[in-house]
Amino acid sequence: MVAWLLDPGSVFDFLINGACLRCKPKIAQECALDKYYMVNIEILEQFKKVLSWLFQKEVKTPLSFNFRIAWFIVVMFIVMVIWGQPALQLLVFLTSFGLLALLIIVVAIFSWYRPKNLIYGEPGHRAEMKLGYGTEKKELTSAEVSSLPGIEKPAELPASGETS
Amino acid sequence: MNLHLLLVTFSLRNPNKDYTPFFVALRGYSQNWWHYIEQTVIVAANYNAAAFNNFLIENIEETDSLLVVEINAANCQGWLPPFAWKWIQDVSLQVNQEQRLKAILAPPTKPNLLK
Repeated sequence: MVAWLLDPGSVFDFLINGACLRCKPKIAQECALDKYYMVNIEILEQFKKVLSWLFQKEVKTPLSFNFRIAWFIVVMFIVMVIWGQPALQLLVFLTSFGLLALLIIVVAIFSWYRPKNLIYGEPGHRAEMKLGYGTEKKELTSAEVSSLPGIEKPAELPASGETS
Repeated sequence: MNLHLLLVTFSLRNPNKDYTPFFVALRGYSQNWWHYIEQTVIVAANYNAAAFNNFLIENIEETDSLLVVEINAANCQGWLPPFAWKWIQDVSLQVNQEQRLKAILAPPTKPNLLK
Protein backbone atom coordinates (compact mmCIF):
# COMPACT_ATOMS: atom_id res chain seq x y z
CA MET A 1 0.00 0.00 0.00
CA VAL A 2 2.88 2.36 0.83
CA ALA A 3 4.36 1.58 -2.55
CA TRP A 4 1.16 2.75 -4.24
CA LEU A 5 1.08 5.90 -2.24
CA LEU A 6 4.59 6.71 -3.35
CA ASP A 7 3.48 6.45 -6.94
CA PRO A 8 1.33 9.54 -7.43
CA GLY A 9 0.48 8.66 -11.01
CA SER A 10 -1.25 5.43 -10.04
CA VAL A 11 -3.18 7.06 -7.22
CA PHE A 12 -4.51 9.77 -9.52
CA ASP A 13 -5.32 7.15 -12.14
CA PHE A 14 -7.42 5.39 -9.57
CA LEU A 15 -9.08 8.51 -8.27
CA ILE A 16 -9.85 9.90 -11.70
CA ASN A 17 -10.23 6.89 -13.98
CA GLY A 18 -11.10 4.18 -11.48
CA ALA A 19 -8.13 2.07 -12.66
CA CYS A 20 -6.76 -0.56 -10.33
CA LEU A 21 -3.44 0.39 -8.80
CA ARG A 22 -1.95 -3.04 -9.19
CA CYS A 23 -3.02 -3.97 -12.68
CA LYS A 24 -3.50 -0.60 -14.33
CA PRO A 25 -4.88 -1.75 -17.67
CA LYS A 26 -7.88 -3.32 -16.00
CA ILE A 27 -10.63 -1.40 -14.35
CA ALA A 28 -11.02 -1.87 -10.61
CA GLN A 29 -14.10 -4.05 -10.73
CA GLU A 30 -12.38 -6.60 -12.93
CA CYS A 31 -9.28 -6.87 -10.83
CA ALA A 32 -8.66 -10.29 -9.30
CA LEU A 33 -6.91 -8.74 -6.33
CA ASP A 34 -10.03 -7.74 -4.46
CA LYS A 35 -8.24 -6.96 -1.24
CA TYR A 36 -6.22 -4.23 -2.92
CA TYR A 37 -9.37 -2.83 -4.43
CA MET A 38 -11.00 -2.77 -1.00
CA VAL A 39 -8.03 -0.96 0.45
CA ASN A 40 -8.26 1.56 -2.36
CA ILE A 41 -11.92 2.14 -1.64
CA GLU A 42 -11.05 2.80 1.98
CA ILE A 43 -8.41 5.31 0.93
CA LEU A 44 -10.90 7.00 -1.36
CA GLU A 45 -13.50 7.17 1.41
CA GLN A 46 -10.97 8.67 3.82
CA PHE A 47 -9.92 11.16 1.17
CA LYS A 48 -13.59 12.12 0.64
CA LYS A 49 -14.08 12.53 4.39
CA VAL A 50 -11.10 14.85 4.66
CA LEU A 51 -12.30 16.91 1.69
CA SER A 52 -15.88 17.16 2.97
CA TRP A 53 -14.65 18.07 6.44
CA LEU A 54 -12.52 20.84 4.97
CA PHE A 55 -15.29 22.28 2.81
CA GLN A 56 -18.54 21.46 4.57
CA LYS A 57 -18.72 24.47 6.88
CA GLU A 58 -19.01 28.01 5.67
CA VAL A 59 -16.31 30.35 6.93
CA LYS A 60 -18.03 33.05 8.95
CA THR A 61 -15.29 34.58 11.09
CA PRO A 62 -11.63 35.49 10.56
CA LEU A 63 -10.68 32.93 13.22
CA SER A 64 -12.40 30.07 11.41
CA PHE A 65 -10.76 31.23 8.18
CA ASN A 66 -7.33 31.09 9.83
CA PHE A 67 -8.15 27.68 11.27
CA ARG A 68 -9.09 26.45 7.80
CA ILE A 69 -5.92 27.90 6.29
CA ALA A 70 -3.83 26.16 8.96
CA TRP A 71 -5.32 22.82 7.95
CA PHE A 72 -4.67 23.49 4.28
CA ILE A 73 -1.04 24.28 5.08
CA VAL A 74 -0.72 21.04 7.03
CA VAL A 75 -2.40 19.02 4.26
CA MET A 76 -0.16 20.65 1.66
CA PHE A 77 2.85 19.79 3.76
CA ILE A 78 1.79 16.15 4.22
CA VAL A 79 1.02 15.73 0.52
CA MET A 80 4.40 17.12 -0.43
CA VAL A 81 6.21 14.94 2.09
CA ILE A 82 4.53 11.82 0.74
CA TRP A 83 4.30 12.51 -2.98
CA GLY A 84 6.50 15.48 -3.58
CA GLN A 85 9.83 15.63 -5.29
CA PRO A 86 12.74 15.49 -2.83
CA ALA A 87 14.11 18.76 -4.16
CA LEU A 88 10.88 20.57 -3.29
CA GLN A 89 10.24 18.93 0.07
CA LEU A 90 12.62 21.12 2.07
CA LEU A 91 11.25 24.25 0.41
CA VAL A 92 7.64 23.21 1.15
CA PHE A 93 8.56 22.26 4.71
CA LEU A 94 10.14 25.64 5.37
CA THR A 95 7.32 27.53 3.64
CA SER A 96 4.64 25.61 5.56
CA PHE A 97 6.47 26.11 8.84
CA GLY A 98 6.90 29.81 8.11
CA LEU A 99 3.24 30.27 7.16
CA LEU A 100 2.05 28.44 10.27
CA ALA A 101 4.35 30.50 12.47
CA LEU A 102 3.12 33.70 10.80
CA LEU A 103 -0.48 32.62 11.29
CA ILE A 104 0.13 31.89 14.97
CA ILE A 105 1.76 35.29 15.47
CA VAL A 106 -1.04 37.14 13.67
CA VAL A 107 -3.76 35.30 15.64
CA ALA A 108 -1.86 35.88 18.89
CA ILE A 109 -1.56 39.62 18.18
CA PHE A 110 -5.26 39.93 17.37
CA SER A 111 -6.33 37.82 20.35
CA TRP A 112 -4.29 40.08 22.63
CA TYR A 113 -5.23 43.49 21.23
CA ARG A 114 -8.45 43.00 19.23
CA PRO A 115 -10.02 39.66 20.15
CA LYS A 116 -13.40 40.84 18.88
CA ASN A 117 -12.00 41.13 15.34
CA LEU A 118 -11.16 37.43 15.31
CA ILE A 119 -14.69 36.28 16.02
CA TYR A 120 -16.61 39.10 14.40
CA GLY A 121 -18.71 37.71 11.58
CA GLU A 122 -22.12 37.74 10.03
CA PRO A 123 -24.03 36.67 13.18
CA GLY A 124 -22.18 39.26 15.26
CA HIS A 125 -22.91 41.95 12.72
CA ARG A 126 -26.61 41.03 12.72
CA ALA A 127 -26.70 40.98 16.50
CA GLU A 128 -25.15 44.43 16.65
CA MET A 129 -27.63 45.82 14.19
CA LYS A 130 -30.54 44.61 16.27
CA LEU A 131 -32.09 46.89 18.79
CA GLY A 132 -30.12 46.71 21.99
CA TYR A 133 -31.71 46.74 25.43
CA GLY A 134 -32.07 49.94 27.40
CA THR A 135 -32.94 53.24 25.76
CA GLU A 136 -31.51 55.48 23.06
CA LYS A 137 -29.54 57.28 25.80
CA LYS A 138 -27.99 54.25 27.44
CA GLU A 139 -27.85 50.80 25.91
CA LEU A 140 -27.58 47.79 28.20
CA THR A 141 -26.71 44.17 27.67
CA SER A 142 -29.23 41.41 28.20
CA ALA A 143 -27.37 40.38 31.37
CA GLU A 144 -27.46 43.93 32.76
CA VAL A 145 -31.21 44.21 32.16
CA SER A 146 -31.91 40.85 33.77
CA SER A 147 -29.95 41.89 36.87
CA LEU A 148 -31.91 45.13 37.40
CA PRO A 149 -34.50 44.90 40.19
CA GLY A 150 -37.98 45.98 39.20
CA ILE A 151 -40.45 48.23 40.99
CA GLU A 152 -44.05 49.21 40.46
CA LYS A 153 -44.82 52.46 38.71
CA PRO A 154 -43.63 55.36 40.84
CA ALA A 155 -46.29 57.83 41.98
CA GLU A 156 -44.77 60.85 40.21
CA LEU A 157 -45.89 59.69 36.77
CA PRO A 158 -48.53 62.01 35.28
CA ALA A 159 -52.07 61.49 36.36
CA SER A 160 -54.57 59.73 34.15
CA GLY A 161 -55.59 61.56 31.01
CA GLU A 162 -52.62 63.94 30.82
CA THR A 163 -50.82 62.24 27.95
CA SER A 164 -53.64 61.83 25.52
CA MET B 1 -46.87 66.29 13.30
CA ASN B 2 -47.64 65.31 16.87
CA LEU B 3 -45.37 63.21 18.97
CA HIS B 4 -46.92 59.86 19.88
CA LEU B 5 -45.96 57.35 22.53
CA LEU B 6 -46.32 53.93 20.90
CA LEU B 7 -45.92 50.45 22.23
CA VAL B 8 -44.57 48.08 19.57
CA THR B 9 -44.63 44.37 20.27
CA PHE B 10 -43.56 41.79 17.74
CA SER B 11 -42.64 38.18 17.16
CA LEU B 12 -40.16 37.61 14.35
CA ARG B 13 -40.31 33.89 13.72
CA ASN B 14 -38.22 33.13 10.66
CA PRO B 15 -34.71 32.21 11.89
CA ASN B 16 -33.37 32.34 8.33
CA LYS B 17 -34.53 35.87 7.60
CA ASP B 18 -32.36 38.88 8.23
CA TYR B 19 -34.59 41.24 10.21
CA THR B 20 -32.04 44.06 10.24
CA PRO B 21 -34.27 46.34 8.07
CA PHE B 22 -37.06 45.92 10.63
CA PHE B 23 -34.84 47.16 13.46
CA VAL B 24 -33.39 49.90 11.29
CA ALA B 25 -36.94 51.12 10.56
CA LEU B 26 -37.89 50.83 14.22
CA ARG B 27 -34.97 53.01 15.22
CA GLY B 28 -35.03 55.27 12.20
CA TYR B 29 -38.66 56.36 12.47
CA SER B 30 -38.61 56.93 16.22
CA GLN B 31 -37.16 59.84 18.15
CA ASN B 32 -36.71 57.91 21.38
CA TRP B 33 -36.88 54.21 22.05
CA TRP B 34 -37.17 52.05 25.10
CA HIS B 35 -36.41 48.30 25.16
CA TYR B 36 -36.53 46.62 28.54
CA ILE B 37 -38.82 43.71 27.68
CA GLU B 38 -38.02 41.14 25.02
CA GLN B 39 -39.72 41.75 21.67
CA THR B 40 -41.41 44.83 23.07
CA VAL B 41 -40.36 48.39 22.40
CA ILE B 42 -41.86 51.73 23.38
CA VAL B 43 -41.07 54.54 20.99
CA ALA B 44 -41.77 58.24 20.80
CA ALA B 45 -42.42 59.00 17.15
CA ASN B 46 -43.92 61.67 14.95
CA TYR B 47 -46.31 59.11 13.50
CA ASN B 48 -49.49 57.56 14.80
CA ALA B 49 -49.86 53.81 15.27
CA ALA B 50 -51.15 53.18 11.74
CA ALA B 51 -48.35 55.13 10.04
CA PHE B 52 -45.66 53.58 12.22
CA ASN B 53 -47.09 50.13 11.54
CA ASN B 54 -46.80 50.77 7.80
CA PHE B 55 -43.07 51.42 8.14
CA LEU B 56 -42.50 48.19 10.04
CA ILE B 57 -44.86 45.84 8.26
CA GLU B 58 -42.82 46.02 5.05
CA ASN B 59 -39.99 44.23 6.82
CA ILE B 60 -41.79 41.26 8.32
CA GLU B 61 -43.18 38.03 6.92
CA GLU B 62 -46.71 36.67 6.83
CA THR B 63 -46.03 34.30 9.71
CA ASP B 64 -44.60 37.05 11.96
CA SER B 65 -46.70 39.10 14.34
CA LEU B 66 -46.70 42.81 15.05
CA LEU B 67 -48.83 45.08 17.20
CA VAL B 68 -48.44 48.87 17.38
CA VAL B 69 -50.63 50.67 19.89
CA GLU B 70 -50.63 54.20 21.22
CA ILE B 71 -50.25 54.17 24.98
CA ASN B 72 -51.03 56.51 27.77
CA ALA B 73 -48.25 56.59 30.33
CA ALA B 74 -50.69 57.57 33.06
CA ASN B 75 -52.78 54.47 32.55
CA CYS B 76 -49.98 51.94 32.54
CA GLN B 77 -48.79 49.82 35.40
CA GLY B 78 -46.26 47.02 35.75
CA TRP B 79 -42.95 45.88 37.14
CA LEU B 80 -39.87 47.53 35.65
CA PRO B 81 -36.46 48.86 36.69
CA PRO B 82 -36.56 52.47 37.98
CA PHE B 83 -34.63 53.73 34.93
CA ALA B 84 -37.30 52.26 32.67
CA TRP B 85 -40.07 54.07 34.59
CA LYS B 86 -38.00 57.27 34.50
CA TRP B 87 -37.74 57.08 30.71
CA ILE B 88 -41.49 56.56 30.38
CA GLN B 89 -42.10 59.49 32.70
CA ASP B 90 -39.69 61.84 30.92
CA VAL B 91 -40.81 60.98 27.41
CA SER B 92 -44.50 61.13 28.26
CA LEU B 93 -43.95 64.58 29.78
CA GLN B 94 -42.18 65.60 26.58
CA VAL B 95 -45.10 64.26 24.54
CA ASN B 96 -47.57 66.13 26.76
CA GLN B 97 -45.67 69.41 26.51
CA GLU B 98 -45.43 69.14 22.74
CA GLN B 99 -49.13 68.38 22.41
CA ARG B 100 -50.06 71.33 24.66
CA LEU B 101 -47.78 73.65 22.69
CA LYS B 102 -49.36 72.51 19.43
CA ALA B 103 -52.81 73.10 20.89
CA ILE B 104 -51.88 76.65 21.98
CA LEU B 105 -50.23 77.55 18.66
CA ALA B 106 -52.94 76.02 16.50
CA PRO B 107 -55.18 78.56 14.73
CA PRO B 108 -58.72 78.81 16.11
CA THR B 109 -61.23 76.74 14.21
CA LYS B 110 -63.73 78.73 12.18
CA PRO B 111 -67.38 78.31 13.17
CA ASN B 112 -69.42 76.40 10.63
CA LEU B 113 -71.76 79.07 9.28
CA LEU B 114 -73.76 76.64 7.18
CA LYS B 115 -75.36 75.09 10.24
